[in-house]
Amino acid sequence: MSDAILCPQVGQDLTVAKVVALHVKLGDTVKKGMIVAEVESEKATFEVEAFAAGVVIKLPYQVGDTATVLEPLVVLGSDADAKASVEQPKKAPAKNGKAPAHEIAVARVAESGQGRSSPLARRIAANNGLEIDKIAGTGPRGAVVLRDVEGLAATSGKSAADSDTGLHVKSLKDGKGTPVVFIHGFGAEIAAWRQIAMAIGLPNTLLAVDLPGHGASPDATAPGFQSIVDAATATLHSMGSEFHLVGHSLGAAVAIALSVQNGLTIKSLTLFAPAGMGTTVDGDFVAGFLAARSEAALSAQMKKLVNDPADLPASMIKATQAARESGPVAQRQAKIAAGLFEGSTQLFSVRAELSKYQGPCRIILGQRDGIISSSETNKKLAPGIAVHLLENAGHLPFLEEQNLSARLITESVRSSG
Amino acid sequence: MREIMYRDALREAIDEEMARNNQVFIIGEGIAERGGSYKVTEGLLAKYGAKRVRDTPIAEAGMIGVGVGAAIAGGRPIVEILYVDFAMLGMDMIVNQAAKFRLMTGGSGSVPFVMRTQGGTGGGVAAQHSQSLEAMFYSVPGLRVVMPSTPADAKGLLKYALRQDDPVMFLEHKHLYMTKGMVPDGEHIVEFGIGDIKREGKDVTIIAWSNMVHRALEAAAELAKQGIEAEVIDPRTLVPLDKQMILKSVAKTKRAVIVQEACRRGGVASDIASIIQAEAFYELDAPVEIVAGLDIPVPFNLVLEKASVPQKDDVIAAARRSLHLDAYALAAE
Amino acid sequence: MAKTPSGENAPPKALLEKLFRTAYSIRVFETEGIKLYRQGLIRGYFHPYLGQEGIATGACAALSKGDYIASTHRGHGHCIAWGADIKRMVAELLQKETGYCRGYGGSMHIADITTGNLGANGIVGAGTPLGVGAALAAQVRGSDAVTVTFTTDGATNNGTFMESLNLAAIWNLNFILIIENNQYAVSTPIGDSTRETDLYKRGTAIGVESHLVDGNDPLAVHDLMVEAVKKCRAGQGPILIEARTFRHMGHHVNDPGKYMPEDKLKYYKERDPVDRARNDFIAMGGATAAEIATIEKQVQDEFEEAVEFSKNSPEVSVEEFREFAAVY
Repeated sequence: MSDAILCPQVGQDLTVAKVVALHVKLGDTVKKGMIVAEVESEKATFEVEAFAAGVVIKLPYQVGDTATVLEPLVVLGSDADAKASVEQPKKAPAKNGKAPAHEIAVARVAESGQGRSSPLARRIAANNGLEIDKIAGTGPRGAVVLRDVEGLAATSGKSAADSDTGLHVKSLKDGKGTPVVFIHGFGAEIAAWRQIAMAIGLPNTLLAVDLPGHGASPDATAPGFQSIVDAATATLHSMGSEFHLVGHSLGAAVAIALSVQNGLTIKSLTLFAPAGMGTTVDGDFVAGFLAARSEAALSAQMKKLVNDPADLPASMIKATQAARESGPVAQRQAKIAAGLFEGSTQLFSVRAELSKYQGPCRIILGQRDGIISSSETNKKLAPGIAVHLLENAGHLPFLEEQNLSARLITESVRSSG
Repeated sequence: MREIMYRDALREAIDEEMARNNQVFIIGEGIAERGGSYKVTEGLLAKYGAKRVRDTPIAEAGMIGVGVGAAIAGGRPIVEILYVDFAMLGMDMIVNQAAKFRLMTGGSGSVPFVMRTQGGTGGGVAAQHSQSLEAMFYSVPGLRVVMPSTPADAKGLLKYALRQDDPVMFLEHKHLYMTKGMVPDGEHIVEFGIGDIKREGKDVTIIAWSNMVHRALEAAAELAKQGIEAEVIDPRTLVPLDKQMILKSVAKTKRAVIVQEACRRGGVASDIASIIQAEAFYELDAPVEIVAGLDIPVPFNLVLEKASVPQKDDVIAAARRSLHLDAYALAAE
Repeated sequence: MAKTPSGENAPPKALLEKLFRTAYSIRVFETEGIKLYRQGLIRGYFHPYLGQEGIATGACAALSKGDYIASTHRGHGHCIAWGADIKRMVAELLQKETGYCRGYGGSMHIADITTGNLGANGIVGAGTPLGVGAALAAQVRGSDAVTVTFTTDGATNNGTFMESLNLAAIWNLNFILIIENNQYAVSTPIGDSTRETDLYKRGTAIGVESHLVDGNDPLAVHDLMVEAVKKCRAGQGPILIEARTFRHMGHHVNDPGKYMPEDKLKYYKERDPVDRARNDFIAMGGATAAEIATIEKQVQDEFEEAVEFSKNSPEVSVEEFREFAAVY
């Protein structure tokens, strides 16, 4: 053990002081309170008092040297230290060689040619696969503005005026900081999250969204996965720019697609049984679920979602049935399904998008998932993605293993810093 | 609902809060017997006595400092400063004392101090009695900055100010004291940080506070005749600022015009513009427009006074520019 | 000004002990604190109260629970005399979570509103209006609490000195303003700052009862304050007291104070307020050498424990700071 008596602070902004006297030499025994040295600033001379006792084992400076403030002036140790301190090895020199060259992948941003464009016009063009430098602009100096892309996007069959596609969003819990947005799976709605939301102890606001054609949201403006993503993108844009996402099945695929949208920063992804990760889906379930008319038929289909039928709340079946009785939910969803699945094949993939995601990501899979194959999903995932394989869960891990799932969501959100 | 004047709404707020909490008291120049220059405190001396309604000498630094000290020690003072221009004499007490105390005590101390004052142009009162100085307070963390535009907001915000625990710069406008508006009956409180949509619209968002809300509303009425639906947002409190309301509106309209009576340079409008560009950049179809006072002291001559601060036509022009409706003057290019 | 009451006129021993213990505590705090500063444990500014201990010691001993004090940038002495916890003071100077202000305030901003300590202040003169404000709040509340602001000779030339003392006067507030006249505004001697160096006379100009006292005599300060407090509580405030004194060193820990004439320094060091308190305790209170030694040891131990406590205290949390910042 050694104690260092430091070159004193002798001024608010002074970083050095001159050593004008050393009252001790190597090997001397120092008592607490002794004056061991004197240093001088441009203003005055200061005595340096020993605040501890010991034997002087090191004197980094000599009289006349300029010492650095708060660096050791006199180092004290025990007798044993004094003997051992004949020659202390210097600090290891800095490592040889250059710092590893970081490969920086620079994504080339598409130049919009000579023309100018508003940020909004660029965003809409990008979302609709329009090349903005080929669009005639009517804004200042020919800039492409909203009105120039609106018509084009509409004729390309994709959503443009995103305010019209606003999805139904509900707050599950009010809080602060970056909101956590829950996106349900095919055939479900916001209510699916109600239970788990209560088990989550995060301070953040928890929001849930109804996908197009589901719950209280309007229908999709076009068939296919992209229009669902576009609607969700527009909805998130209208609420802010930073979110954590939690998704289930189709909703998890949407969450992955959202993570690469311009203008959105997705701080973390928690994905339960994500769709879009493989090619197959239980086509019989989709067909049977959509065709079910009676509560009994619906119940039989929905039980396929879980490993243990006891885990499926009766209220969920009842709510699904009630929703169907109050409107053409099944027809709306059948239309959506036609754009997503063909028999037992998934028509969309988000693997490429997921490989680009850099934030914390957890995938939770039920090994007994009968709808989407967990082993297909769990192939060739980037090493940064955490996979949680739940032995006794099916397609609804967040209901079947609610507490664990709540914990995993919490950890994803917290780990984003 | 009743239609009353802004100054009467302020008096109601003070009166009700003095009746509710006997720690609330008010000091200022000529506020007791005379009832204040704008009659806001008329009748309060008779009702609450000389202990709680006190005239002061002309000593702004002292008054403000005494108010801050009283607040630290558990009182609920209102200090009325005749003109915001005169508050500059007490800036040490506002900036170095009131604003800092909560942090300097590690959160254990608080300063429930309310400084009521007024600013803005009106009637040729010249350079030392016409300023809009909210940006000075806005840039000092620890202060709340409140700028009501209507009698209802004035009452609700002042009542809230007297119930919360941070130093409040309550900035009224000299032109508004005699204006009338509907005020709800009974208890009416407006919390800080909640903006108000003074007019709904979908084509362009106009953000304005204090007297400029009225100029923005006049402009919106004119724009409506041209088929443009402007949404007028009044943040009501600049600190805390209802960012969400602004961003939501901009996400809807894709365009923002910010109107302030204060000079352009270093203003609150610039800060709001930076928030919009940072947080709603991809919503914007046009640059954020700022309509502000000139970077010059306010002159006495009434024509020049008018020329020094934003007028209705300036707001209309900015809104139309943001909708790409008029030819562009590309000055710098 | 010298007085040696004895016999039944002698002040109570408990008072004399208190005065000595307080003055000595301040002396140890400042002397040891400077050492901690030199070794980098204390950072930032540090304005020692060395040489002025008699004023805070005497004044605070005349106050009661429920009263208020407001202090200066040279505020450690007022805090200690007011009864502050040395542990939490040292912890504050060491930037620790356990400090009076959780390390957010530092030497110039130690405050404890729960005990009526309105705080030290980094702005010279600011404590005067703040103290008058506390007195005003007390009057509105119907309380007879007295507020004492310790201010400095330098602050008497600041506008708020007259503005706020005048407000206290027109409202008859329970307010006592003590000018600690150490005769320097940083390095500018009082004679260069004002033509009338009898600063107490400024009070008489606006109808405030004003006194001059030897600031190096804790007992004299105490006795005058007892009278002043009594008058205030009887509705005859405010009162101005000029307590004349001298620093033992420069303006702050890094100012050697070469501008202070050696003969004058010698004169005041010979009239050291801590020695004065010790001698009073012996002469009038009959304290024995053993009693003195015991007190000195207790005070030194208390400081050392405070340093240990502070070193072992948790660091502040940046996370909590961010949460704190969110309310702004």
